Amino acid sequence: MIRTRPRNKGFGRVACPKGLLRLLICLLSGGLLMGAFTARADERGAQLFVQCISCHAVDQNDEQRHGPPLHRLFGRPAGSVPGYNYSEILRQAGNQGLVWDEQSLDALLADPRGYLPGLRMAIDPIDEPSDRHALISYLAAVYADGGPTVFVHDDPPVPDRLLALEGDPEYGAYLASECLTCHQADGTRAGIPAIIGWARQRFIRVMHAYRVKARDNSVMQSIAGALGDEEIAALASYLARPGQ
Amino acid sequence: MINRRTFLGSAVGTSLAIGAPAVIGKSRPRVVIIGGGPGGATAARYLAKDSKGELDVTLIEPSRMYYTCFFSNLYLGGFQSFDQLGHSYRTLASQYGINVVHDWAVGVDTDKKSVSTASGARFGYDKLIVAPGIDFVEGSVPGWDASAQTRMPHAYKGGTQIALLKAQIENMRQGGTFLMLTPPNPYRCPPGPYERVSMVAHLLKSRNPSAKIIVLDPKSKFSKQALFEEGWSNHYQGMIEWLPVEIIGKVQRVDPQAMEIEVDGDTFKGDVINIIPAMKAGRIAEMAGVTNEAGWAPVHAADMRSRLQDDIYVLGDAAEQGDMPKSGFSANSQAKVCANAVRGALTGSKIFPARYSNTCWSLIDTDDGVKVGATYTPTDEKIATADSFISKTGEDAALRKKTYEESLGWYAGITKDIFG
Repeated sequence: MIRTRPRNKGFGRVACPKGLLRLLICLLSGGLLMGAFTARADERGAQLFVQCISCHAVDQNDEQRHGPPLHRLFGRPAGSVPGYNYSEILRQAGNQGLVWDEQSLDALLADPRGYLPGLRMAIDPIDEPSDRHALISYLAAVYADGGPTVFVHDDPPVPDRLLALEGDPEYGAYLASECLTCHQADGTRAGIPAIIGWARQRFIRVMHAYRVKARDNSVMQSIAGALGDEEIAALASYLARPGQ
Repeated sequence: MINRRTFLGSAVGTSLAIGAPAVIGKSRPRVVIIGGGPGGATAARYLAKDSKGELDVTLIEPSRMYYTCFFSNLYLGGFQSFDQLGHSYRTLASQYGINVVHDWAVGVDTDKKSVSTASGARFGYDKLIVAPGIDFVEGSVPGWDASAQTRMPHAYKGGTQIALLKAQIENMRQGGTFLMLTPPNPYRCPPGPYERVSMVAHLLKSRNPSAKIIVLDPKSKFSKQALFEEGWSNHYQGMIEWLPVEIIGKVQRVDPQAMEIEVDGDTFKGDVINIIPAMKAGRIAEMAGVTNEAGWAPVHAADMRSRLQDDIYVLGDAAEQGDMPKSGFSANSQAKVCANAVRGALTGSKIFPARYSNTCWSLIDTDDGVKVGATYTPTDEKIATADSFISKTGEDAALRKKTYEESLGWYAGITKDIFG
């Protein structure tokens, strides 16, 4: 189970982000009548945000993932975090001055591949303007002040011997064919999360959680239950390889 | 007599033989696959992909587009378009170099190790994979045969039959009766008929709310029964009547002209009638000599190898393997185990132990999805269930919606895994 927990829980602690959005959020949260709407939008934003973090690291303390971390996103030139294998179009756009802000994020989320043709980030367009707004507001709010959002995974600790196990990628490739029935090989996420490119430790932690039934999807409990330590290690090393 | 043309011809031949000894001198091992469904197409794709050109892979499939049987009920219910069910073989041919032959396999010569097709072509094989799906048992429903399938569609092989059935239901008179005869065990997609009942009810609830659905069942119980019955009473109160074998006895006669089904002591009239006959392995499996008296093809659990013929493997619905249900998911799962074993046998690559799994999702009404599934291990006798799970009655709406969304994700995933 993943749940979000802002570091500062104080009532009214949400600082207002810059610009238009700041104005909007402050206006909205200012009105009592609008309070319910804001709460709903926050909830929706948090809901949508969970999808982002199947690929993006939450902050610099989070384990490395396929996508760059989302903290300090606002005001950052596109494609500029060192060490990430960005799409060519993203790097170019960043060099030509594309900076992430409310407007550019809205355009990206509305039509990812129309906005940046050739973009590898595998997400579906968010058609509803109110959904995009909720997500961007949420991003702005949780990252604006008091440090990044802390994510708490309720996963049980992984035994050291499992973490230390060296996996055979060839075996992993064979085993992964079972995963690819549902988890798409090109990293597209549609009702089922993408697992391609997951960091080794993360994969092991999640599979271990399913195996001991600490996570509750029955398909995954059954699949993970049929995997021994050697199999989990093999899968982890195969899936973590770039290009898989 | 040597003229310029023959001289040129032989010169070209010689230079080729010298220039490319690996290709001409030693031909690649040949795998022929009959049937381009979830079993056959998956096997073809994994063999071609993983052997990186070391194997010559031929896929024989009559249709140019494959319309999945799985999710066809969602099309009946209006949750998927017909086009969304169709998948082409283009990527398998162009990207994976599979020789896709659109033809009917009509014979297998196990001595000469070759497959003949309706157009008269022959394809030699080192290993043959037979994945033809199902055919109906002739005479299993007295009075019904293939010539009656326009008036009384089976709609159980995907494609035009399912479109026909949908059109008939949409055009049914107000207050009419949809009558379904379900098949005896074993058959393709155990929850399929009951998901279909749900989807037909969903369609009728808005278009034809006074219509009735009657299910005549030659069995006493069915897959996910508690879940379906709960869903039917939640969503379609009073609309669906399920009559098991204890009530109807034996089907005596089906009359496509009168649109009637006669059972022991009673006759049912329908405005739309869906007949799903008893099933057996697709006919070509019988011609290949891999089927038993029951009409199915017994296989070894470790690699889906036929128990009756050397160098032939059988995948999917046609196989008699043990505990796995006949489903697209099962066929896809078996295909990967089989592809790994066949490639190992022909190229010396590592053969890993078999792993099988299956999940069957069913949609009962909008956002009300349920699932049943298992993982399996091979034993000497059969593919045996290791661990299984099923949705529970009384689950909350959010979980059911998630289960439905999961099924959409699965469809997108498995169709890419099958067709590339």
